[in-house]
Amino acid sequence: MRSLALSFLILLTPNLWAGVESSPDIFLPPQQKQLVRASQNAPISWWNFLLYDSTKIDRSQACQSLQSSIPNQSLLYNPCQPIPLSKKWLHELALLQTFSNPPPQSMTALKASLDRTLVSLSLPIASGSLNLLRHYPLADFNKLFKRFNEFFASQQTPARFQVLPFLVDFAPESHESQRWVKDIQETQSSATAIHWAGPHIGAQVNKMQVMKDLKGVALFGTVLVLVLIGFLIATRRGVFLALVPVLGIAIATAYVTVHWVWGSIHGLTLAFGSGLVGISMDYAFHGWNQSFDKKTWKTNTISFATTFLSFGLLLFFTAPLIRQISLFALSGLSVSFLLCFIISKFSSLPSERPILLPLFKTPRNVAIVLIGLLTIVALLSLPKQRLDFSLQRMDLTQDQKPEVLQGAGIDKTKNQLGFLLASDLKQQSQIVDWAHSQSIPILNPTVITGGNASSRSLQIWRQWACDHQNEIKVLAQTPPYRDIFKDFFETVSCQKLRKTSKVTGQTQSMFSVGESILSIFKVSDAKQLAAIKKDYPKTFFLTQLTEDFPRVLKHQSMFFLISCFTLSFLFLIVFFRSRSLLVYVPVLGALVGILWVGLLLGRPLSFISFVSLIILLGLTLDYGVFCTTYVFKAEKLKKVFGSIFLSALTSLAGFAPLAFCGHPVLADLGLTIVSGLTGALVFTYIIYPNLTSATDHV
Amino acid sequence: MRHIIYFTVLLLVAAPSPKGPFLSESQLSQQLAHLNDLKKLSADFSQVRNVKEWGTAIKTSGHFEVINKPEKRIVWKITAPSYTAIKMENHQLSIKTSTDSTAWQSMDNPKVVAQMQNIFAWLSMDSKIIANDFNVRKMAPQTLQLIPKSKESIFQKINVHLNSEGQVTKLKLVEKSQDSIDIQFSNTNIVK
Repeated sequence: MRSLALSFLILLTPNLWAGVESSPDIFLPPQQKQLVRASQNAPISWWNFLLYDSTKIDRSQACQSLQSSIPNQSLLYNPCQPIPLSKKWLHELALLQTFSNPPPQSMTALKASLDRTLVSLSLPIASGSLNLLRHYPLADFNKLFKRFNEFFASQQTPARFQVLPFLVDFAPESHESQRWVKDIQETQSSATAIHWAGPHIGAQVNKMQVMKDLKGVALFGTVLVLVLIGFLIATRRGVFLALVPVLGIAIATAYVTVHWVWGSIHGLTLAFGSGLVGISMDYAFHGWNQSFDKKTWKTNTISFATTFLSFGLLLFFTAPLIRQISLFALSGLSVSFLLCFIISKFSSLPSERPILLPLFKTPRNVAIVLIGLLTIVALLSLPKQRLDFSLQRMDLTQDQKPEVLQGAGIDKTKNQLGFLLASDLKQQSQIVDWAHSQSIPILNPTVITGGNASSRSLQIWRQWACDHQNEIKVLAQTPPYRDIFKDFFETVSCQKLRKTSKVTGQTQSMFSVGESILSIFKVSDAKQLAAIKKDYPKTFFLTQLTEDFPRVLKHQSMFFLISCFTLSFLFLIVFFRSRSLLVYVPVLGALVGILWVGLLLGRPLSFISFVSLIILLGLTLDYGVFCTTYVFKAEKLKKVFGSIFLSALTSLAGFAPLAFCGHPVLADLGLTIVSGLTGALVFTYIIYPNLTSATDHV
Repeated sequence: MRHIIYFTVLLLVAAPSPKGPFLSESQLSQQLAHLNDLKKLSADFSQVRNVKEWGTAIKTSGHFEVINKPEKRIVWKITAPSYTAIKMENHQLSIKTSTDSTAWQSMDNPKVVAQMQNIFAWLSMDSKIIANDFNVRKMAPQTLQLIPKSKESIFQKINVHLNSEGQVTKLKLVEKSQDSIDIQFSNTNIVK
């Protein structure tokens, strides 16, 4: 059922994807998200990198490749151009630049400056954004952009690989990004001298692989589900098909709820959440197989409540992705559970041919040795198991080249980029002064341009403009200045400046977040890093994303996993008393299964494995609750096994093909679910029948 | 009536096109043959850039020189209304805005470098580069028209006027934005 829902979702409703986002920001807590998405138009996380082999091509060839693959107007920062092409940004900078410079010392100096600008404008190369010069002839653009370029330019001694960082104005998941990545893949696949890295390439390459994988999985899943439907109809168990619309409604409700709360939904939430909502099918399978007697609903309610409590706890997780998945699961599960209950209560669906599974009673000694061995080996393997929660593990394009890491500002030793927000321009100026005193390179366009076109500098300009009012008027009427610098003369006119008290409103430019303004430090050694962390502890480093954040993620995952177990145990002990531990037999089996696969394949457990473990926890706790309820009643247990078998079969049909996917996220998800489910089934089928034979309460 | 139409059509078809055929590299080389062995070429210039959007013109003037031997060097020096010099030496483009001989700054923007290299190719009348980058046609006995082959060129066309001795007397550069630059040369001096 799960795979059917997912398959149809993927194959038949592609429009749903329009409301689905795939930004990696979903992993970040809000305060870091705000920093990384430092401006509405150009998030800091949209930096990409062109890495070129300097022994094969030179910088100009690399530049040519960059400029031929991305339209000029989309390059907000172009390392090959002295001037970025965002005209609005330039316009604002120019205004601030003008006022942050002192006024010309004399009219002769002003005329000389205007003449220099005239010459610049007379050159054939003076087109496009250089035209701004005529508005603000005093702005020293060359110096400004040289400084801007130098900040990002590599300071290292010439290495074989050089990095050109560039900033684009389209989102990683946009159509422009898709076109661009496809284009560079088609045209430059053979150009080994050039390597592209960054969120856009990563997002698109990952997306392409995921879509390729999912198409195969969806087709395979659809075939399997059709076979299952055929089987159910042929064996007169068609009543189970009533669950398809139930699941559909539950997933749709979950989608709408998350969309309503968050404003959007992440692709991973949709993928994992649908699997979690699918857990509710266990209640229906179980209910139908036990003819919906009173005890069944009691069992179902305990299972549902346990799962609800465990998932509810995850609403407090730091990573928004987990919170989103949790909300999706809670809303979907609730609706699904309610619908199943209503169907069973108010409809007169016949209890059709329950699925029974014979109980294979393994000799007790054999069972103990087998389970004991499996568990002991799994536990002994713990020190060898690797945990890798890094976000790069989910990225197909992960690149270990140190040059890319350095260029991307995420190398711990060199060129590490730190981002800091200042609440106002005054604080911003203090940060810049501090950075200069520590010899730490700092980039902030608003301050480079003088940003705080302070009331003092405006006052000086006002004084100057009013003192030279007549001379300025004469010059403003003299051709060609009259025609070319009309806007400039209007800006610096005495009348205009008398009405202008501040130009700070113009600082909402490239690197600003609401009222706050962003600075970027470039740290090259541990001493500078320590100084920043001491004086400005709120500075955010990209290494936090690549190293520190995964560490936090790992600790939290462990904490929440243990909390989920503890909370569910405390809840279950109320109902099962001394038998509570029996509920955890399938859960233990799942953990042992995962550890075994980890040991055999040498594959580390990732963050995705952890998320998959949440699905497994929901599934296997249900199995445990069902089995423990009827643990001493062999006939009932046969029916429980039948429903568990059906539930596990649909899950395996949905998730097993994922284990063969090329994308690490899907492969990790598939492998964890398959290995966990297999382990859970093995433990369930070996342990519970043995308990029955021991007490013989049939 | 029908005959008149036929006659008109015939006239139109048979009439020679005002645009002549493109010159081959060898024809162009022949046209500029007298410049082949020159050591130095220098001239004063006055330039008018007509900016359509602003409805105004920017006038500048100065001096330029092309030195072919011993090493190729081209200097475009604007002296009025303000001093700016652009130099190309060993395929490197540099610029300075003061008369200080150490104030040269290299330009590394590939697009700018490519545009300036084009301009300098016409100034030095290097037939090989011209034929490589442009389709050249003869518009009048002493006028050549250059149409850039690259779609990325900022220029739509360039008209080169020569005097009876084959020296460039006037350049008219028409940009795609319909802005135009007229450069008039005087006091031309050729050293062979």
